[in-house]
Amino acid sequence: MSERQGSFWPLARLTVVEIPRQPALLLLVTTLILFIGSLPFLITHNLGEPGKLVRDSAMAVMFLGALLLSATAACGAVSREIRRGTAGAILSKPISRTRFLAAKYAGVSVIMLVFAGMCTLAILLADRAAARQFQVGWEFLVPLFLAVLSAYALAGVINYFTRRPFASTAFWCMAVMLLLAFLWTLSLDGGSGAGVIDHGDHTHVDPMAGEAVPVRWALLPACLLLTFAALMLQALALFCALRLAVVPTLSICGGAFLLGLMSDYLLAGRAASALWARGLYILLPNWQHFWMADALTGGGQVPWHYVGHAAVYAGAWSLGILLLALGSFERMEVR
Amino acid sequence: MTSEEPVIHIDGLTKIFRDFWRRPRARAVDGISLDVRPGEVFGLLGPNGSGKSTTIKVLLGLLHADAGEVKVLGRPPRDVDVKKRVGYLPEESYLYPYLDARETLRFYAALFGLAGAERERRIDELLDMVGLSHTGRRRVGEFSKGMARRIGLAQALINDPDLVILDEPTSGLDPLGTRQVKDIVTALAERGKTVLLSSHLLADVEDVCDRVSILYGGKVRAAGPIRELLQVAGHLQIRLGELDDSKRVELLDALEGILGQRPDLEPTRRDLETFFLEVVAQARRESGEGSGTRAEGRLAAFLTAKDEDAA
Repeated sequence: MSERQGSFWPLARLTVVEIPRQPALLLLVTTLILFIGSLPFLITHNLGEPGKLVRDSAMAVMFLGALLLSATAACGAVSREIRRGTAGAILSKPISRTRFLAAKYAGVSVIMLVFAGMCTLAILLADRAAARQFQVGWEFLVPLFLAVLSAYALAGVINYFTRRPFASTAFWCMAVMLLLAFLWTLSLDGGSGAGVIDHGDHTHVDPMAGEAVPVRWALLPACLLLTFAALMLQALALFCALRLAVVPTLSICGGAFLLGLMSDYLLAGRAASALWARGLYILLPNWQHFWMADALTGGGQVPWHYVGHAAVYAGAWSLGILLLALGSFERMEVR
Repeated sequence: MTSEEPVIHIDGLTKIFRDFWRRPRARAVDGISLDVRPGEVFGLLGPNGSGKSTTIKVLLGLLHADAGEVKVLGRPPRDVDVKKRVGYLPEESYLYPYLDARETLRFYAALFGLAGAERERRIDELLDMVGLSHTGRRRVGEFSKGMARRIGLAQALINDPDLVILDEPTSGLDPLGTRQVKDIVTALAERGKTVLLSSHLLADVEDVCDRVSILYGGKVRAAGPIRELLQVAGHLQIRLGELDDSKRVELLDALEGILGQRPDLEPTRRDLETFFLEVVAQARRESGEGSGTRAEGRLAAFLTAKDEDAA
């Protein structure tokens, strides 16, 4: 490996190591995972299809969490480093600005992927827990909550004995523990729950209670699509973070998030007749392509070739934004 | 680049800082010209805001020049290959607060493509040199300013650079650390390395630099070899060993006869730095190490090794 090639990985690796060391990030991820895990017992009205509201809400939490995380991580990786002077110190070493930016994007994307993975596991567990009518599947939620709790406990022990930073250790432990929790619940079919629910003065027979609750694997492509959207948001946040602090970055990403959600409603009709509308419609990220919650209703599936097309769209859009960011960064003075 | 070419060539460098609307806000550097030759220790002197750090950041390709020509090791400053041969200690120690000392050096070593046993050897030697080998997993964010400065110095030397740029290297250091930095600069110069040192601490510059440029308001106000600049024209100094009282009177009488006026005679004084270092060395012998840094004052072996060994 040449020296020039070698400079990419240390910087990307450092970004992966540094970002989870921010306590704010751990707090954000923990809150979101616990919130997803709480949805099955917070939402009790199922409107006909068990788990639909939980599923939709959990995916919305993941999407919104990705927005918050993208701004936090990008600003931690870029704008704070520029302000603090570490970016200047690194750019005085044999690393080009293109490589610097690419390494930063790679680093924050790894964190985003881990976050998306954790959310996906939490959503799969929450969906199974909400699958039965009027009954929370605690056998799926308890492992989820235990995973978070044990991650914190384990991080505390590791911190005590090895002085490893608590926040990042807890973050990585949580990812591993959630995976273990999910794998453990795979051995449960959910059919062991009693079919007769005792309300004290009367009993109620739940037609779903005695049945197995399989993992809804159809959620995987839907969550993967949200992950693509998260990586697009990440690219936009990185572009903004080159010159802006966390609040303006979050505001711009939030604006793009809202406009992108409404772009079909706002611009699709006008795009045929007005050039500006067509341009804006193409430029704005259309989040509707990545929001498949409704497609899953009634046992629907997201075809994998659609996921492939969405990946190409997300990749092209992110690449375009990153090229704009690079153009801006090349001219930028780093003080 | 030939051996005759200057390591740093600046001709008419001008740097203007602008506001959001691109209107000029401050002319930080105004037509500076200077050449730094190979193997030279060159000092950039000046009060705060005189343009020293701005000049250095242009040399590192972090800022763009508005006018003038800048070459480092014969090439434009933003050339990545040039940066492989440059070590830079920033004015503030810009470090990742969550990394410990070893992780910090490992990261900077990796940016230069250093790996494996060679990287670990250099890290061990540098940590020992700057007195931070005992800090273990303590994060650099918890370091004192002086300790952060020391780790900053270590990262600047990790690639055994041909050109070392030190921006206020002794800022925040105690006299022991200051002495050590000067020893490192001297050792680097002895190995033929070029050092550009920016400081407003005049004694530091005077001790180690061959030539200086004095900046004020972004312009060079004086430049040349230190010995020449500090010479007071027409004044001479006589240094004598021990004299008893009778010889002293005899000498003064003789000089009065020659000069027509009676000269002053004062005992020779050590400078405060030398005195301080002697006191600390004595205290250390008597009571062992304190709780701060534990520098032995040994230079890293790879910095003192012959070039063919270090490569």
